[in-house]
Formats: sequence, C-alpha cells, structure tokens
Amino acid sequence: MLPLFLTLIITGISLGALYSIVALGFSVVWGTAEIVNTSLSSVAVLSSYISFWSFTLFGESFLLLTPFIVLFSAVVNLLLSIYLDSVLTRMPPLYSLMAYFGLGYTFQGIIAYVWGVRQRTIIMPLLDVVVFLGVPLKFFIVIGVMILFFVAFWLFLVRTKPGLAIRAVSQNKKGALVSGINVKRTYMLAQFLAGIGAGVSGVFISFIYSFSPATASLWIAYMFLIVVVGGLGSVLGSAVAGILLGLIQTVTSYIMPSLWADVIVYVVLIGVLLVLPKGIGELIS
Amino acid sequence: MKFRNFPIHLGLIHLSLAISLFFLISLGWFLPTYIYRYFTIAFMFSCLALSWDILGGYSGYLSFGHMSFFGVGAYTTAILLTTLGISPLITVPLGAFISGLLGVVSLSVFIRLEEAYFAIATLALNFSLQSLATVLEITGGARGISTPLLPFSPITLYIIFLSSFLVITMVLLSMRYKIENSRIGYAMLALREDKTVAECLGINTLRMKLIAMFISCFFTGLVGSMYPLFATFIDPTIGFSVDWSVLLVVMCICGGTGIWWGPLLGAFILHSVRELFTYTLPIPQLSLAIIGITFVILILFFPQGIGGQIAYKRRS
Repeated sequence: MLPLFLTLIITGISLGALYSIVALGFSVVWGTAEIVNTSLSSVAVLSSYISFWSFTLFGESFLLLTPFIVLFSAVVNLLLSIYLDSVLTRMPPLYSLMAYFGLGYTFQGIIAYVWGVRQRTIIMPLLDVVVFLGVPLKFFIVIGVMILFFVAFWLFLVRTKPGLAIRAVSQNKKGALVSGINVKRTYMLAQFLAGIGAGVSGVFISFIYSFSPATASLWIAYMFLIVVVGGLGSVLGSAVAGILLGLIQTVTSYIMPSLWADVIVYVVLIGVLLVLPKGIGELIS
Repeated sequence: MKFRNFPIHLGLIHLSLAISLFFLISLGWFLPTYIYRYFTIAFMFSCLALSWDILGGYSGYLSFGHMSFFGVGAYTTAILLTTLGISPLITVPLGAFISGLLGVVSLSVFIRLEEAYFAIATLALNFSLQSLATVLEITGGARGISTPLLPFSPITLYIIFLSSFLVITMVLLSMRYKIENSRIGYAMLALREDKTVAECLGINTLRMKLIAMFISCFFTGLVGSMYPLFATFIDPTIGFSVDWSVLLVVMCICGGTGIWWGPLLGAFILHSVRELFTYTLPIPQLSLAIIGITFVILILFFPQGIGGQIAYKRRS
C-alpha cells in the first residue's frame, strides 16, 4: 500500500510541477502586460515534439540539447509576441485571449502537419530503469528541476533590477513609466521568461507523459485554473496550485474512472472562482 | 401607424433572406446537396452568433462558453428522442427552455465576477459539461448518441432546417433591431457602458442582465436542440465544443459586436473561410493553422469588426 501511495504522490507532484511551470509564465505575462497568452501551452507542446524529434536523432543524449530547445521555444514565443503585443496591449485583455487562441491553433495545425496527430511518448531505455524508492528516478528529476526553476524565478523577481521592473509594471503601469521603466521592454522580458517556462515544461512532458497536438487545448484550462487558484502573478501560489492540480488528477484517476478527474478539476475551478476570486495567493502572502 | 418606424434596411435584409429562401426551395432538387449543407450550417452559425451577441454585445458580458447551452439543448433532444421517443416538436422547445433556465442560473451566479474572470468561469462551465457528458452513462459517453433519421429525403431535411434557421435568424435580427431602438435596449447599452451610472439613472440592472441572458441562452439552446435532428448524432466534442465557443466570439467580434446585423456578417465570413480551407487544402491539418491565422488577423486589424468599421464610418 505504502509504495503505491508514494508513487501516486510523486507522479502527482511531478505532473503538477509541469503544469505550474507553464502556468507561472502565463500568470506573469497576464499580470504585467494584461495579455492572456493561451498559446504558451502550444509552445510547450512544440518543445516536447522537438525533444521527441531530437530523441529519435540522438537517442538519450538529447537531454544535453535541452538548453537549446528551451531557448528556441522562448525565442519563438518572444518574436511572435513582440508583434502581437504591440497591437494587443491597446485593447481589452479578452481580445488578446482570442488572438492567442488563434495563434495556438496555428501552432497545433503546424505541429499536426509536421509530426502527425498520434499520441507520442519517449521511452528511454537507460533512464527509465533507474528506480529510487520504488519510483522511476525521472519523476524526482522533474521535481528537482521545478524547485530550481521556482527558486530561480523568485530570486529573479525579488533580487534583480529587471525583476523589480516586472513587479512594478504589474502593480502600476503609469507609475512605472513615470519612474523611468521601459514598460514595453518589460513586457518582452515577461514573454521571454514565459517562453522559457513553456520550453522547460515541454522537454519534461516528452519523457514523463504522453502528448499530442490536442494536449495544448487541455492545458489551456489547467493554466487558467492555476492562475485563478494561485492568484495572478504569485510565484508561490502558482506552485501550490499546480501541485494540487496534479495530485487531484492522479489521486482521482486512481480512485475513480480516470475521466472523472477532469470533471472534478473543472468543478473545483468554478468553485474557487466563486468563493475566492483572488485565489489562494492572497491567503499565503 | 404601427409600421411608420419600420426601418427600410431591416426590411430589405428580410426581403432578400426570404427571396433567397424561396429560390433555394424552388430550385431545390436541382442544386447539389453541398450548397444546402453550406447554407444550413452558415445560418446555424448566424443564429448562434446573433444570440451570443445579445448578451455579449448589448450587456457587455463576454461568455466564452456559450456552447454549454447549445450542448444542453442538443442532449435534451437526443436523450428524450431516443429513450422516451418524444416527438421533436416537443423536445426542441423544451430543450431551448431548459438551456435558457440553465443560462440564467449559471450566468447570474457568474456575473459578480470581473470581466476576465467571468470569461474564465464560462469557459470552465463549458469544459466541465464536456467532461461530464464524456463520463455519464445517459449521454452515451465519448461515443455520443445517434438519433434516428427523420422520415424525409436528405434534401428535404436540409430545406426544413435551412428554412427554420433562416426564420430564427430573421426573428433574431428584428429582435436585435428592436432592442437597439427601444427603452430596454438603451437600458442594456447604458449597463454595458457604465454599470454605476446606469443604476443611478434608475435602471433595474439585474433585470436587464437576466433578460439578456435568458434570450441569449434560449436561442442558443433552440439551435442546439435542432442540431442532432439533422446531424443525426451528438457527441461531447461537438455538443460542448470549446473551439466553437471561441469561434462564436470571434465571429461576433469580426462582424461587429453591438451592431444588430454585425454577427450575421461575421458568421458568414468565418464560416466561409472555414469551409474554403477545410475542403480545398490538400492537407487537412493545415486548415486549422489557417483558421488560427485568420483569427489573429481579424483581431489585430479589425478589433471593431468589419461591420463596426462600416457603421462608425457612416455615423461620423
């Protein structure tokens, strides 16, 4: 019983870690630029397809290429968003939701064209065999990377000048502009960081989870859930909400037929929206 | 005179719709079925977009989950038809009414949320109903429900539904024109522009919102409960399609929200783009990419909608 329980907890946390890394960037972009960049989930799926591709080319050593894959997805997200945001920041936030939904469709269509619509997953002959505490080691790697990512992100926001600029812009745009912050460059920075998050998460989805072009649409709902539950722009809130989401999903799909997990997740989302519209980020801080 | 204020352009649109209906029926059995399919789906989208915009355009609540009410109507018809064998003439109005009630109940819970969070809540409602329909026994799970084919030839079936969607479109157009030029419409517009001022002027804002929600969800449910009758099946990915929910919003935005004929234009433009690229491209996956790019271009370059550009140019 105990090893099974441990497996459920560890897989739940690592799945939640992947959700929260994407959602953190989504949340920061929404907080600073008031842009609802739903195409981040498609960028994540793009990055997992690129990992899949490089796995078939180089085998397990593709993990050494991770920095380049991450950088590539960050640059793709940045270049597209520079153009879109220059127009969309002058409109209400919901217009950006629609435009980025369209961009997400474009990504999905191109991915489906290049790699097909089949569900994929990477089975690694060497890494999958290594087991620690009865759980494959790769899940622990994901959790470790998530902790590193969140600590680095938090230190960046709190200790550095650009991080300070992001926090300032998300609190008050005019005030930030008056005190000499380049607001547009801050938007770009936020989008770049979000792209890094999507890239990191995408690489790790590729070998602990299965993915297909349609995964991106599902993840949009999860990103919204994490932002709503965790609070807009809150680092700790996103981490907690993401892990909760992952745990709920794995535990419910163990107790009940796995399709009920989604029903429960969305009902939780509606409930949290109605009871705590500002999210649990407020309670934590 | 009762008809003194009847606008000539509304009359012209109605006349042209009626004439095209007449031609489609009388040329009937000579045209290829594809043309009927195209116009049936186009007018279905027009009805959905026009009814979405009663809530979204006039009272300013952007619902990103309007397909929830479509799906509720569709499943009501399908379940009653297959399990109890009730005539469609009863199930269709019943489905519409249930959707309207569900709309009033759920949306009136959501309206105290801010604009963006209202959108997320409606999107979450859509996702949750979709996953619920996939799980439950009564809705047939992921396979959905097949409804019996009505006892007509395919072309007659298309003509029946084409003309009903056309009639609903005409009703909605007249209703929207009436709303724009009446006390209740001015009240809704005031509510959209500034809620506090509207309340200070003595407008019962809650009543306005509830009316807008009921009308909007009722017509969405009406169209939804007719859908399984001509598609002969309904499953969660179509009944509660999130893609269509977003598509409806983009249709209204690109046609021009808050203009009585705007969504009609938007529905026809986007439906034509979809049909054009789904059937002409050699690679079906790329059509999704092209529709996505169309969304981006429409939002970036026509934020007021194509109809909005015409209407505002004429006004200034």
